[in-house]
Amino acid sequence: MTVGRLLAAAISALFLVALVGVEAIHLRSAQRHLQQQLESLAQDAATSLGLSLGVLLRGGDPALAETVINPAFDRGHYERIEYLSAGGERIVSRHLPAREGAYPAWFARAFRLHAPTAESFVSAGWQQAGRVRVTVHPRFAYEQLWGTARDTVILLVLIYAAALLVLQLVLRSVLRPLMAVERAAQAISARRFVTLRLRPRTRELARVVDAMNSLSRRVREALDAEVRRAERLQIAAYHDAVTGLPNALGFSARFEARYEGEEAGFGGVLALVDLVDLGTINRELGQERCDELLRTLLHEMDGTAVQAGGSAARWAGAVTVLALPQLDARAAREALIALRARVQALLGEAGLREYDRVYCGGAEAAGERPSLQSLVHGAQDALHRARETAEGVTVLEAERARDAAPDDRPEIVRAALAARRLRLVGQTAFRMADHRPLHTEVLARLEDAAGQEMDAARFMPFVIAQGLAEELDRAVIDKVLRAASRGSERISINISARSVEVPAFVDWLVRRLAQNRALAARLVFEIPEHGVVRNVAAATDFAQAVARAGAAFAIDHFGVHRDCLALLRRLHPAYVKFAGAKVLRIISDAGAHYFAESLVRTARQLDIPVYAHHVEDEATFQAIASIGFSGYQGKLGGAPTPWPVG
Amino acid sequence: MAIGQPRVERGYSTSVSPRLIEIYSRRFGPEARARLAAWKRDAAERKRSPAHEAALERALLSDVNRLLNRVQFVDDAVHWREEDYWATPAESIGSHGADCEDFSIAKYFLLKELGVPIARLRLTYVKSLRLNQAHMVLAYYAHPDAEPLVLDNLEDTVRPASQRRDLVPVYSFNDEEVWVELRGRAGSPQQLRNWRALTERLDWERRT
Repeated sequence: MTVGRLLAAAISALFLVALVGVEAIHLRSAQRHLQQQLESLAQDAATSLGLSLGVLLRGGDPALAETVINPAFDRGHYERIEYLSAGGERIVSRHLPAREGAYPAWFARAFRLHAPTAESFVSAGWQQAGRVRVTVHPRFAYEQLWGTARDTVILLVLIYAAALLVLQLVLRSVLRPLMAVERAAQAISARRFVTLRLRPRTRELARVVDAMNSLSRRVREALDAEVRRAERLQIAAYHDAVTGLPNALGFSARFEARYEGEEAGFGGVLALVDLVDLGTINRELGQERCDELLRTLLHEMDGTAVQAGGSAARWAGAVTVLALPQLDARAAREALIALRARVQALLGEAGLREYDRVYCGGAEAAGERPSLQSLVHGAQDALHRARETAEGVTVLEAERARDAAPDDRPEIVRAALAARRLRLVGQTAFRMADHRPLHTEVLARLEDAAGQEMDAARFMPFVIAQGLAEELDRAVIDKVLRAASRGSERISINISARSVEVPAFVDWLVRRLAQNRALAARLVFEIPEHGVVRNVAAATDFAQAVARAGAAFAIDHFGVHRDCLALLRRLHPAYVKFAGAKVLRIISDAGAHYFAESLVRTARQLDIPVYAHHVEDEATFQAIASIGFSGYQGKLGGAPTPWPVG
Repeated sequence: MAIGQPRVERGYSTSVSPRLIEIYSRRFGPEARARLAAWKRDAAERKRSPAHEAALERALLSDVNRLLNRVQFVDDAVHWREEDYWATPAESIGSHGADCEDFSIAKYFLLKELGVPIARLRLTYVKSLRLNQAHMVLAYYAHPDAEPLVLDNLEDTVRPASQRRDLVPVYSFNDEEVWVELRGRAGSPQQLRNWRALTERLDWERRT
């Protein structure tokens, strides 16, 4: 019950009591007045009849007495008029039988009017001639009282209605600030830190608004500070201080987020570039100029990587790592040779021609889902070999699968999708504290014409390349909505970052969710962080649309990008799945731990739980448990299994 | 009679308290104290010799008539600065002034106090042919059919109505009929406005 309703109910009840009281008092006083009137009437009639009879009755003539009494009696106000002799015998008696009056019986019972009797002596001269006794009929008085009651009740009901109307208006204007305060309180508890602009006229509410604004500001400031701290830690942990590019840890996290999830695995070439003489250069030029040179060189390398759809990072000391996902071995080799030449030219410009030993080693991705470790090992091998070659560049080609012609695969995927040869598998995320299921992440698998299952890493690159992501998402959502209508588990569905950018898709999804709000409340839509970063506005719109439809929104592969923490505040996801769990285990880097801790703390202040992805063994579990994660998902909890179960 | 019991005391000389005497001596002058005390004493003495028999009652009537006729006749307009003021016995005695209604009332209450049944007493509106004006006397009926005896402030002698050709009776009452009306109810308005005002003052005196 709202304060407004309570006040309205209490005030109108009190007012009603007051009006009922007024009515009761009014009727009681009218009743008393009428009773007095009746008594006066009885006495007046008795007195005047006594006088008349005394003057007229000399011989005690009963007929004459009755004639005297009749005109008075026939007025109809009297129930009984009697004339008694001095000895007490009844000489004349007129009686009007009780008749129904124009008033309800219950009313006469509630406001009883007593029928008064009055007496008067009759004297004929000095001689006592008996007495006359008059009883008044209360019917007319009842009718009058009933009429008064009806009129006043109608009037009071009208007054009551008008008063309630006024009350509503007054309460609404008084309580409007309160509603705003309530909304602000809800907003603050949802970690949206609004500032109330209204200035309520009532002092108490004005103070509440002030307190609210001050609280909102303080929490916001504290949180801002926490976010800034976490951002600093993230930069420190994931970035190279000299060049600003990612360091090995940052590169690994990004690689894991980008290529080791359910979407496309890494294809292309991973290359290492070794500036062999960097140590000497440092001694020659001094720290400051060397750092400046390094920034120029790595910027050059990053440019090459970006051109190939990838990125560069400072791997270790003089070694830079380049991800070149859009290049095959041959193209990568050419790009690396060109890069090496530019780097040497830059060294020459800096007057360091004698220190221009630069080697590049690359490894082409083999298999569907090569691990970063294996790629780095390959690239290191290639780097060793490159030292032996004249051009200083070696790229190891991957062994091609001989049986499957890669060109068939887009068609197979297209056909599978068109025929909806879609299977769903689910992997459950568990709560850290008690291993209770949090939700089941539903993943899609396509089957080729032979019924052979393809996993996401195989088909996703083609789905994305051919613009089929939206179609796949629709197919998956359709299937999930059909299958999930029974059951009560919470379900998360991955949505491609590309689909989110299509307004028609978002509209379609909202309409589908509106058909079953109970089901919608069990759904969470996950978007990978790199997808969100690519188009924050579209992701924000999507998050709001999904929330309005009753479902939730979450961010997958979280924590890699520089401004990822700002996303928490902006999108307020139901949860985030941290990308770097594997990294935390592989590299026991204090900086990465600090960052992860700070991220978890910040998210917790925003009431956003942080779950870890790819938790494959007990060691990883222990690592994330010590940091304060809320949940985990991965092989430790169970590999994906066909969904729905049964 | 349970209902009648407190009513009987109203207007009685014995119900005059020292406090009321004090109040009236301030209001009407120091002589009021002696007058009220004498009245009380007289009534008390008479009470010791009960007079229920008609023969004895007749003597009592003359006695009471003479006793109270000693009070001076003063017109209401002069005495109470009101056109028609029905004074209580204590007011009449204390102020030593009364008009015809006040005499009749004082006699009525004193006789009542001395044990005369009120059914025999009637305050009677009469017209005085001698004075040619409205007048009030107290009539005593030994029984309902009897010829009444008239207690008049203009005459010290109590005479039967037949010897009072100068009076034309018009209307009579006592507070017996009020009992009939009030049976089962208290505090109802009574027949005559003046009587009602009188009983209110009598009640006040009784409480004082």
